Amino acid sequence: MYSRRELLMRLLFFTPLFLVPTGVLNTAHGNVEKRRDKFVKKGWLLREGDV
Amino acid sequence: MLIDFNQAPAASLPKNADVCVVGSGPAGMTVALELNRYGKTVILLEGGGVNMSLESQELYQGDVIGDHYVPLDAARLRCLGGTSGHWGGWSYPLTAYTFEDKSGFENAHWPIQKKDLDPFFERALAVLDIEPPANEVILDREFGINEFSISLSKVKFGQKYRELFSSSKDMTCVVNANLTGLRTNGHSVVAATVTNFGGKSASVKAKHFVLAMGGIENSRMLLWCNHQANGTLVDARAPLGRYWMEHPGYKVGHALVDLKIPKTDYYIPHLLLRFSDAITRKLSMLECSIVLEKLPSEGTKGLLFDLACVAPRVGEWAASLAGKNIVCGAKLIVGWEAEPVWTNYVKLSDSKRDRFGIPTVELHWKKTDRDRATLHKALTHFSDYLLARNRGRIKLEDWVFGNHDYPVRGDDGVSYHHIGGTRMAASAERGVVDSNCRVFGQNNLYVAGSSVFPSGGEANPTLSIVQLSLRLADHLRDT
Repeated sequence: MYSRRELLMRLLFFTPLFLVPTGVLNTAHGNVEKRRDKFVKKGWLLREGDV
Repeated sequence: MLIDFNQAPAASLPKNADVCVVGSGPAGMTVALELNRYGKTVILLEGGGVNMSLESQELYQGDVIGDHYVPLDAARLRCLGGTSGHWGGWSYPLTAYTFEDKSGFENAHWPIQKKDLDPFFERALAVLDIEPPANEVILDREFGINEFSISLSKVKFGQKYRELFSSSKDMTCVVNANLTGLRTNGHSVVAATVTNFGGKSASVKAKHFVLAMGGIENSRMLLWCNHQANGTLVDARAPLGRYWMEHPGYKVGHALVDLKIPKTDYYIPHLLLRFSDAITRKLSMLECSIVLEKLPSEGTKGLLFDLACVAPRVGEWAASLAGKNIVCGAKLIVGWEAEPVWTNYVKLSDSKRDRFGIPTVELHWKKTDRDRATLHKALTHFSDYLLARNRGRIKLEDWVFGNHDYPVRGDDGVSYHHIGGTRMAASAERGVVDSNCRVFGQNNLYVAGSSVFPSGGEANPTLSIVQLSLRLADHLRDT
């Protein structure tokens, strides 16, 4: 299992230009729509435990 | 024999034949070739030339009222071989489910069953020069999700079969011969009138006539010829032009999945999924498919990063699988059969006419609430499967579940499949042609092509069009 830090470092390493223009990290917890144990967050269809 | 009506005198056209077929696309050419094989004399009339020309394409111009659609003169080809000149070649049969009666979908009634087309499957494969698609594979029995395959046909009918016409004595193909009228005695069609761009006309007589002009022109020309004949060509009760359909298909977002996305030799790696009959029925959906088109590794990394930021725990899981090359990113595309409804229809324009004085087409096309519900249900069910089995996650564009219209971008939503308008039914109250594709109101006038489909099913229509055309040829042989 990868740690979250390692994961982000790997992604940062492979996609160095991706972070800055998108600013995804700053808005990661917005736009959350709940629906029982499933919910939509920033377009992703997720379930409890995913976050 | 291949005759160019622009070059040959009108008197050089055969004046009589067993069968006159109008339109040289997959439907018309299949009927003509098969009847010729049975020893029948055939005249095949093609309005366009051997090759595509802008002058001929102009005759396909028309108006679309309602939802976004591509220009109608770009949606089909008007030349020898018809739209097969630029088709994608995806071939697979309609399923038995398509032909079944379904509660709540009474407008989708077929008067024939899959078993009526099955005897023509092998011959249709030969016409399209393909092997049968691989059998469907159950991906998840409980969720009723199956992986299906297609066969790719590379046949362009105009190129592949042109030589057969050139060398045949009993079969005459006339290009640049535009159908401008059908003369009926009230019970049977007596003659077809063809005209070229220079105004030269000729009359062609035959025992039987087959209209195979495509899923829009079949309706348009029947409407026009019926108008010319003061309503004596088509039974007045028939819903001529009505129940026109497409296969709406949209890119709806992306997916990160722990699923094998197979490579193909004809397209980028993609996974084709559809739902079992039981699930489609249970969810009261139209038939639909989900396509996952594999992204290059940069795309997968971008999705992984996005997911990790939004949902770190599942992001970690996905990244761990990515490290083993198990998870991959994909474009997510959903396609479905449009709901057959009376309010989608082909109509003659009240104000515009083509160069022959025939009203241009006005296509009324608007997707229904049930269309949108099918999109929602399909995506929800697929996402539920991924979540329950932990096989991935999907990310949807805002418009999909928001109160937004469908996106208007290029040919998104357009499959170039023109279906319905001259639907098949057991009676004239419900259809334009009978189960043998004979027009209600005439003894010897038939229609070939997807315009006779009462519903679209999930499959691309060409293989089924060829099967139905072979069946029609057998019927005409015995009639």
